[in-house]
Amino acid sequence: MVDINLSVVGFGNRLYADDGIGLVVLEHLEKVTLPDGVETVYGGTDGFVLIDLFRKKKRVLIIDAVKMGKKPGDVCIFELDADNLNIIEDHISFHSFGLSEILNLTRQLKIEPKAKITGIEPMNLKLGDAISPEVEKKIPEIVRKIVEECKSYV
Amino acid sequence: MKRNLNINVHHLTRVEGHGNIVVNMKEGKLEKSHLAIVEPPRFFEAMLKGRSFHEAAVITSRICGICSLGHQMTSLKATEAALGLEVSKQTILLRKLLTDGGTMQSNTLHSLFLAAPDFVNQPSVFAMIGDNTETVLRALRMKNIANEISEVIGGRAVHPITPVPGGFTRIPTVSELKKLRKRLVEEAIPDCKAIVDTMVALHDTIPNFTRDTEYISLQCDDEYALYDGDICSSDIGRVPVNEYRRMTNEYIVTHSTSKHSKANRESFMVGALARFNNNYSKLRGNARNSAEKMGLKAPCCNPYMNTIAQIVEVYHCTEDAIEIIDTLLAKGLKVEKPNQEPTKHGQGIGSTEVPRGILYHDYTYDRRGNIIRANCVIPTSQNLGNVDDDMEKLVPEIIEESKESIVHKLEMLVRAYDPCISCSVHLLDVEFIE
Repeated sequence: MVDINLSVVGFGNRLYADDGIGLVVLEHLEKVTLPDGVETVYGGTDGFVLIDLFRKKKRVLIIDAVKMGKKPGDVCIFELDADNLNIIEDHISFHSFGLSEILNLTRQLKIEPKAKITGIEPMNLKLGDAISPEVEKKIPEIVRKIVEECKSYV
Repeated sequence: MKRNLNINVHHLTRVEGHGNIVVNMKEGKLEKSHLAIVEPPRFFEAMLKGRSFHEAAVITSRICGICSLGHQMTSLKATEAALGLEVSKQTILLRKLLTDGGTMQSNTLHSLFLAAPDFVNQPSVFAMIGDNTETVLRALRMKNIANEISEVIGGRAVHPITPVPGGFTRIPTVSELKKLRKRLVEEAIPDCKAIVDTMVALHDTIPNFTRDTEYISLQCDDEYALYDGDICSSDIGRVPVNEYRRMTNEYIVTHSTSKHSKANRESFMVGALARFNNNYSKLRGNARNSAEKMGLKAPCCNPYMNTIAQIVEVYHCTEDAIEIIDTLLAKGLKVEKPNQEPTKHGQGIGSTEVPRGILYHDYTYDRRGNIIRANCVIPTSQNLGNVDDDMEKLVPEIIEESKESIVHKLEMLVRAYDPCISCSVHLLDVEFIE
């Protein structure tokens, strides 16, 4: 068995339209060949999944809808650190225990998270189980960027 | 004292969703005391219309990010009742194990992360961590073990995928179950003992308030009912699940986007305390002993003790999970295909105890196995009338205290109910009107 170097974690709620994009992209990633040592993890709406990974000192790549003021489906990979925490706290999240709470908890527990976020600009965050066509057509490009990112870890 | 008091806690924190506490007292006369629910409705029942029986549980498990498992189990049971799908004893045992895991994680996180800060007068769990790192780590470990139960039995830590109508698409292996059992015995049981000790130390901070209340939960003959049973009211005894409407009687109030319920009085309570009161004798030994240690005795009419009852249940579910694994291992695991051949169609009602209380899903299917009509009655909406009635009795009793103290006790009361507002709306802030 190959040691896991990187956990790619998808978050979101499939019933809130583009909020589910992280999970849809995760499904696509499960169908492509990822470098050895990369695992995919279904985070759903449970941010606590991250704490376990952080405690195991795993490197984590989060995929989630992030409101960044860009065009729908635009993707941005950035480090998870105090400088961009405000951005994270601003994004609309329907998760039970939000990312900023999880980060607050990990810091207090003196766990240093090694994580990046793949933020995908959503268009529609209303009830509905379909991803907006504008975001959906960018999925191949998003998947390609994430695979490239994964390679840089191995 | 003829006091004027005006409290408005807008968007109460540490509860799931949005609600306001509004209290208005004029010259010593209480004019208003309620929990206003302001969360927008999400119309899940309408979303279910026209969906096939394969999809119902997948959709309804998204009603809640915290108790998705409870919605999934209840949904599967409603579908199976409607379509005449029998399930095996092994399926029932595996579902009970999942239910134990769901109760363990939700009760632990609510009592230690959301309710406990009230006991020590801290604004949040983050402010508590300093001296209590070990307690926080214990809660995280309990959550992790519960996730492992979900992963081993349900195929995924979050939103399990193997439980389907009629059974499971994958059966766990003997070695997976043995590994899980080892963690429950070596990690979860010692953590349960330590969490009980933590709560014993905090016990004196629980307000001494009681109000005679009707308690409603599931009940069955042979165990502490979580997965199945009849409806049981502390006022009138057992009622079949099919008669759930007369035990809920949903109605609309102007201060809430969530419906309210009543059964045999103006309000009733569901949740851990209701289950504890109605099913005390069925608790496992160490869980019952832990209740006594934490000062909880049945019947208990202090809603603040709901948090303590949750801890008792964590202990119970941990022991129960170990025993279920032992039974599964002793019987031997059989590879079974889910029974997905409907034998009838029409109405089916499923009810389980989810962490916040009794949950009902009621579906009607057409002959093609698609949903024509759906109704979900959520524990938090059943509790809302009771919260209002508790506040109405509590405020005059503590009216001599400082406004700060009154607000604290009101917030603590609402949190003790562990409300899951997003689910119920189909509303928390405290508003004092002076």
